[in-house]
Amino acid sequence: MKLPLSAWVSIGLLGLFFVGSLAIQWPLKMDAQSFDPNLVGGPLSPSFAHIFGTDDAGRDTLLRCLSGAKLSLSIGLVSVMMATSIGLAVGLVSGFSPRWIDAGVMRFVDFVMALPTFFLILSIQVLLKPSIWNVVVVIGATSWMGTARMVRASVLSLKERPFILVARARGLSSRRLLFKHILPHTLSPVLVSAMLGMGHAILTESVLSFLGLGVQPPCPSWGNMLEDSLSYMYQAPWMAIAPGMCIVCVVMATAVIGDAWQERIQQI
Amino acid sequence: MIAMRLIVKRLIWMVPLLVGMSAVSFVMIHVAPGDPASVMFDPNFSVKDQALVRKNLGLDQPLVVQYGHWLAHMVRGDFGYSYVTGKPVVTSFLERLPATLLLSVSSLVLIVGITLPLGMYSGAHPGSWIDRLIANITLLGLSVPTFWLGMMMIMVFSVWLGWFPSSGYLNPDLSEAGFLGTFLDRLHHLILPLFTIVIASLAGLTRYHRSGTKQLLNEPFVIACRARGLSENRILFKHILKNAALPLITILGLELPALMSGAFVVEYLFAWPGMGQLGIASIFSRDYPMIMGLLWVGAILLIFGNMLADMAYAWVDPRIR
Amino acid sequence: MSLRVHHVSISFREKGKIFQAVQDMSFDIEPGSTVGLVGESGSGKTLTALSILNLLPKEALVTGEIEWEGQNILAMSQPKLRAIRGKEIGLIFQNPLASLNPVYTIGNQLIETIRLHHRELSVKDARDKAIDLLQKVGISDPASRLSYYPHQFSLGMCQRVVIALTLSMQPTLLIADEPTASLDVTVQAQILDLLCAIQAEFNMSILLISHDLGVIAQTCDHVLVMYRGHIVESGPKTEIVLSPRHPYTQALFAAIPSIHLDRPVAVKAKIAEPISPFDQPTGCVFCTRCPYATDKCRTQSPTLEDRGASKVACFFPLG
Repeated sequence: MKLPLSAWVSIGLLGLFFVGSLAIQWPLKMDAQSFDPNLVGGPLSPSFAHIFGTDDAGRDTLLRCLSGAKLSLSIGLVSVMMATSIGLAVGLVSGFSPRWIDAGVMRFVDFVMALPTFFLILSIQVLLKPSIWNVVVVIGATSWMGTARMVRASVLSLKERPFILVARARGLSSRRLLFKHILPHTLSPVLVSAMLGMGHAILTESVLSFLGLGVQPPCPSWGNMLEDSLSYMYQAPWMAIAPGMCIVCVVMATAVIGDAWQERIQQI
Repeated sequence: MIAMRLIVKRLIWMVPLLVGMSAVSFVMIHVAPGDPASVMFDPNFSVKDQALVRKNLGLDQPLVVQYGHWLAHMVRGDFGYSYVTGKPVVTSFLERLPATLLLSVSSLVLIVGITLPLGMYSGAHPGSWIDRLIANITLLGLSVPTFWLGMMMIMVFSVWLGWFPSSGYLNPDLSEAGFLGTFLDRLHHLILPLFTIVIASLAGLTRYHRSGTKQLLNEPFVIACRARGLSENRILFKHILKNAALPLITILGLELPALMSGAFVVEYLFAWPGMGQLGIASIFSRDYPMIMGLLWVGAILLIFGNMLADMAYAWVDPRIR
Repeated sequence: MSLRVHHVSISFREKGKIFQAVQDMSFDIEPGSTVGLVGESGSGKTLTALSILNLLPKEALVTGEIEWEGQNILAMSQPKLRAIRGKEIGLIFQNPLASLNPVYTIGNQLIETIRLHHRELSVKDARDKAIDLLQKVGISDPASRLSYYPHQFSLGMCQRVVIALTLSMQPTLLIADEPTASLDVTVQAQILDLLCAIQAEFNMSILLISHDLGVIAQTCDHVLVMYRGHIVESGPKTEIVLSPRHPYTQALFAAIPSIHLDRPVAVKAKIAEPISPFDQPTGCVFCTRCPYATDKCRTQSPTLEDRGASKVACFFPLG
């Protein structure tokens, strides 16, 4: 596959985070939640033993960042998979159904899009006990509308394209038409938007955890590490810089990969 | 005329939206573990007192009745009383409105004012070093969480350099500084939260504007303009700008929720006494009348935002008028 | 004023490969004449039109000379070029709707163009001139049409508006790139008649580009036949129509469907193998499809040479 260098670097970066987060858990058997009792009492500045320093409880920042990577990446991945499948299903159904069903479904999509989503997510998180699964479901359930609209639009335009009309004239069944001729054409842009959606999901997760409504301590996530760092901004800036840079790197990587992919689609 | 029809359409659309949304959130609040009233109880309230409070709040009636009751009040603009402060919800909103308006209107103006020239220059000179610079900066902007950007702003400009205050709306010592003094002090407080929102929201719009401008550059009508001898600047500022503004308006309408949520966190972070900070505080204290009121106002704001976007679109594009 | 296109080649470089779109093309347009450029799609007609006004995208590599009044357009500065564009050479595109800005009224666009080249005119005078022009191109009730947007016109009407826009500067050469391709047949005839009428009135020369030999035969006095970036035959219309000498020209005429079913078929080109635009075959460009091709045609490329009244690029001209 021909992708620009920046895309390969991004893929490598994501891989690095992934491998790193697995490595500290399995071969290295390092626990990001336990801490060295000798160090309790204050954040330590970066040193050879702790490259990114430690937090107020003496826990190694790098270790916690890597452990948070596993959470952030999997929350991003799972919620995007959920949003993408809902979006695909709704879009295909809407694009292929009789007009009145299509109109009804699209009104519903409009309805969900008109909700003040972020505030709603916050309220839901407070009402239900905040947990990792809630975060995943809430993000997934509120970010499928763009995909649905895109899929519907492309199904509608594909339906009128000559090659589909010809296939129809040959007497192909609707299901075959849908899965063999239409789905493959809509898939590439959907994957691109899923890539960008993953970055978005990671951002949302980090805000939720930052506000204390997402991943709960002591389980480390980039968002709740940043929340911890708020009270040490003066003494221990590394506590705020390291997790934030992790978020920026991962989200930027998804954006670069999505862009490169988009460019490839347009070239074909 | 069509603009009129658009407004009416949006307004009619508002009814099922508000009813649906409030019903969903109402049911959710009341089904969730923990009774709404439980947050206001002192632990040493007797069971009898608790029942009395519930009865006074109408919480002993069936959900449908409660909802109907509440909806009837909402429609009349009566959002009830805050469980926490006991003040009417509307009064709290009105107190918070000026701060939020100041922040959101000024950030919107700045965002549009910076996006237009940046995206247009970038799109008209694809591949130039300025274009590549803007592309990389906007990529970074897309990837930075708003709250972290705010934290970094505080760290650099407030903690290290000490140029701007890290929180608040107005310095309390300055209460008698006169108009100019108050104005300058407010500006001083505004700068960090304002630029946090602007930088975080700028990136997406600039990228859209760039690609819109770039696509238009090779449209037949643009080549026709060149063939008639119009100068590049005239083509760019008159013929391309108005066409490129169309997708931008749509995106701006779609980005409103993101803008709002960004403003939420920024208000919280900078202790900016606006609706967003109020919202987060009420969520933490489970102040249900406040939460419902905010959801209600948020939905109305979104609808009005989209309505404005529709009207702007119709105003620019004669084809849908 | 005359146009001299002298050994012009246009090529694009893509991923290290070079795509020769137009090769070594030369022709002249005398004042007052109508020259037709005919060829199938992808033969480089539109690129030729764009190159005459130096409107090709930056990626295009152009060599040769295009002389307008003895000055090379390809080497001209932007301000000088802008003075020629529109004012001396006008250009009409294939899709009239796409060549008007959708968000401005046609009055706005007309007045803008008029005032661009006649700075002394006030807005009101320019408006009067715009109304006058719309009347000339056959639009009824021109004063009220000024406030219409392009999408409110039919395609034929749009093409009239585009012609009015081009006429507003009274160019001495009009390049019309497939001006009727997107129109209904009856409207096509009206637009062609209009072009002929304004040519007579303004004493312009016209370069008419079309894939339709019928259109060319109806309007032009001189015809250039183009195949894959090369001019393969050039000559007076009567000569080309009555005795085409290049096998490709003959094939073109043979391909015109006729209502006389018993008409004998002269030459049919072979069905072309798909050729990548990057491949430059050695020999004659037409040899892969020519029924008469010999080994000589496949190894050497013929140049345009005088054959009677016309010029033909073929080793074995017919007739």
